Amino acid sequence: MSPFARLCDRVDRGLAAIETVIIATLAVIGIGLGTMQVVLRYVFNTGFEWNEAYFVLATVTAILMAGSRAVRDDMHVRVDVIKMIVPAATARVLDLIAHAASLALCAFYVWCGFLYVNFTRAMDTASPETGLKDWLVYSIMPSILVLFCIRYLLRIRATWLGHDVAPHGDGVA
Amino acid sequence: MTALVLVVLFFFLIVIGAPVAVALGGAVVATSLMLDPIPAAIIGQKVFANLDHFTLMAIPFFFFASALMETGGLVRRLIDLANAFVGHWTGGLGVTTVLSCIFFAAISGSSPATVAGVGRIMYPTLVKDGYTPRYALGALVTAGSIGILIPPSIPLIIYGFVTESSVTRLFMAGVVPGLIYGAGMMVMAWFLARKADVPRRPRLAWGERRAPIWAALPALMLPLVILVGIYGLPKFDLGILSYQGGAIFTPTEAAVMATLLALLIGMFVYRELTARDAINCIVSTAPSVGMIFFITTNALLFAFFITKLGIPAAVTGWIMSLGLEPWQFLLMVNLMFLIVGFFLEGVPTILMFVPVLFPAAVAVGVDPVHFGIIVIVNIELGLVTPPVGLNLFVASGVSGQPVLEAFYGALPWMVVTICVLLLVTFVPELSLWLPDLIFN
Amino acid sequence: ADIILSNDNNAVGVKGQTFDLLAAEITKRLGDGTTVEVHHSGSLFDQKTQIQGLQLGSATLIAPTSGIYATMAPGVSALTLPFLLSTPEQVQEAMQDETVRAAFLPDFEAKNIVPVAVWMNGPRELSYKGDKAILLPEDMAGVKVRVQSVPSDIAAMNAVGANVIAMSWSEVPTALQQGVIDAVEPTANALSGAGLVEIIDQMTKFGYQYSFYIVGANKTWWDGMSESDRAAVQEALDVATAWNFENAAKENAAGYQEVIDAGKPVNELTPEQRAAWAEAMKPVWKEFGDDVVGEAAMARLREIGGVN
Ligand code: NA
Ligand code: NA
Repeated sequence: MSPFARLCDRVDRGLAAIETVIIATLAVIGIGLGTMQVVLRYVFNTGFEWNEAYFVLATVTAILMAGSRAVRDDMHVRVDVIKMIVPAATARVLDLIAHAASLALCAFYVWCGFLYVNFTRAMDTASPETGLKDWLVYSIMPSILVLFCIRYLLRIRATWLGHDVAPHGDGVA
Repeated sequence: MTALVLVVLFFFLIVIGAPVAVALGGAVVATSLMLDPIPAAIIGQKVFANLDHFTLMAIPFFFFASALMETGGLVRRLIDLANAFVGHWTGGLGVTTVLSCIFFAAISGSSPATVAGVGRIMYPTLVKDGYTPRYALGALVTAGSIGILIPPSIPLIIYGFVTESSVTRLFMAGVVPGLIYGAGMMVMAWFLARKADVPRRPRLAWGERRAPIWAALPALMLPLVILVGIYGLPKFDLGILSYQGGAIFTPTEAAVMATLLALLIGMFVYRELTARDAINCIVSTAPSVGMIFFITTNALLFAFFITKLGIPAAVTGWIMSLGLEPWQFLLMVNLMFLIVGFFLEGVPTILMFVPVLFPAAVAVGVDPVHFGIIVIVNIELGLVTPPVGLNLFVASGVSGQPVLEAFYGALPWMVVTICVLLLVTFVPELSLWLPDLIFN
Repeated sequence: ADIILSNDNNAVGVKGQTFDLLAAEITKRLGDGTTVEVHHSGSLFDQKTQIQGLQLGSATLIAPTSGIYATMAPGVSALTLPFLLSTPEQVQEAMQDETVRAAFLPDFEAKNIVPVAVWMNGPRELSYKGDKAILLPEDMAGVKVRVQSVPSDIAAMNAVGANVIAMSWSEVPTALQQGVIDAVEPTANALSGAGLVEIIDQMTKFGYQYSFYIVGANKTWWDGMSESDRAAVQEALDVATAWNFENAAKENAAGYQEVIDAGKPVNELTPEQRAAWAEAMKPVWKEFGDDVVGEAAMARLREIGGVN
């Protein structure tokens, strides 16, 4: 294994570990806060205004983190009809273009997100419920999109080498 | 011109196999950079500032709940229960499949999750009992799509989010069409089994039914908690125990409670779930939701861009100028969704088309809640039509059979889907009767 | 388009019609060279994101309810403090008063917004489910009430012991019907517009604040117009505002009438009961009044509102 391959492998595992810890922790916090809201309202006839805001924040962060995992597992739905009918070599080229387009978009979003965070920072607004500065909350998503970018880079490399991931799982809708 | 470039870019990205989310966002970004600039910070705002919406948070938790139900042994016990009562009928195991899908649908908000949850247990059982693989696949992919009609339903949550309709009301509207759909599927299960002359199971004595009933009781609590939680009970007063009536939580809170209960039942009642399993289950389910959220956020940017271009207003104006009757409009919508459904799955379909069609539907006088149910049944159909049909993919994964085999199996059952679609489209009362009864 | 009007309410209400009228009046004055488009129902920017849309120039004119500006200009909260201002005239006088303006105008301008007009909504009343009339602040204890996420509104309801619930407006009808919440506090016209009249059991006309909209313009656009264009737009705004004042009052009167026609009790408060509410909510004045806009502005507001 070349040093670069080892680095890629290490990045992949490191990211996976971070994703797992954050998703699991925040999902549990989300369950806790959601339950607390119901219990406080009905058992104690009270509640905190910040409860819902923090619940949403924890949940959204967990799910966006899972979006990065979904890049690794190829779970971002795509219509791969064409891929099924063209020769394998062509399919690989198409995949490379598709991954590159995804990478470009995510990178562009990171930049837009950076400008947006700067803007909200200049406006210096805060959430009325939690008192958290808006720019702090809004920087979560561009930060996670950086992880999307890393994941797409890893996938471009894998596709280039011809060992890209297995197809996606159960899906949704 | 701008609109044309947008559409061409979108289809180009779809065809090369870019994720739907990337096709939506990439088409907007490229078009805007070339022709009609949106300030980058506004793109940042549209992509980053719209996801923190309480209603959307129901989605991950309904996902977690159904995954935990499957892993924690709740689904298996619900299936055993259904089987104990109808297993001896002609096509009894087919009917069990449909009933299990209905049960599971009452906690799961996703059709593919329903197909996977029920299919992993029912497919081998059906085949072992002498049903053909096609029969088993057909029953699973079509009955499984009931998952999004019977509440909770993730596409309905998204629809409510996009159209600012009440999710609770939409949920209620899906119940009657869902039950009709289920009944139709059971008739089909019987009919196809009789034609194929599948062997029947022996009838269980009442004594033998007691065990599966007891075993399933805790699992049955889950749908009960969700339904009572969201819709409430009538007032009662029994001296010490009194209740004012009314619901206990919003759909989002119901999703959290369902997750918690599935966790507790799996861990402490059935003891089939360890804390580690539960965490694994959540971490492996979350990426599906991450995918939905990434599509949602890109679709919001897409919707903003087409609104800015004036497209929804133009489409509404054009449809109004045709002077269509509501039924003609709805027929047109059904045909359009049939075509879209070949290629796209539910959530992106709603996010892309509802912002355009909804104002037109309201303008020709279609009830927003009724329209929501029509959209959902169309999506159910799309889930079982190739080339892109998620239920087909999942069933193929569960059974090890080719995707096309699943589609051939589904063909006779789809007669029911289409009948229900037509019924729901042209008889608004089927959707509106229950919410009207409860809310007015 | 050159001028983009973004409305967070529907097209058919008085606010939506005011927007349409404004668009027509601007077009009439600036000629066909200028394109003006109106986006209703929050289709371009929703209530929460419209201010940023305005600041960044993707919307030219917006008219959110005043509290929405509170995150960037905390001073505006003072105008909707409980039991301070209670008529459209008082609101307008306060918005034109130099001392009061000084408390929020610098924030607006520093953040690229010019407040160019005030449109009216109406007095916020308490509408609720339940057989028991809520007449005194004590009656609010434990009542699950939905308010907008405006800090001073939340604080006012907490001050009377209510259980404040945050919830998106689209969930309110079913949540109220189903008992997830017990009470709401919108104006009569909003109550009717959301179809809540059928759902509530009664209304208490406590009018704890007079709700209004601040029409905000993108400052870069506003300052960048020629002197004559700006005068023309100001004229158009004046015409639209005059129409708005006349019709907002009618719309509210129709809202109350609808409640009465539905056979739901509309409880008026005696002066003593009203005084009790004012007294119970008054502690909020310090945190969101004196501490934010200063004592001079508060003194002026009290004077305008005729209260102490
Ligand atoms: Na369901
Ligand atoms: Na399909």
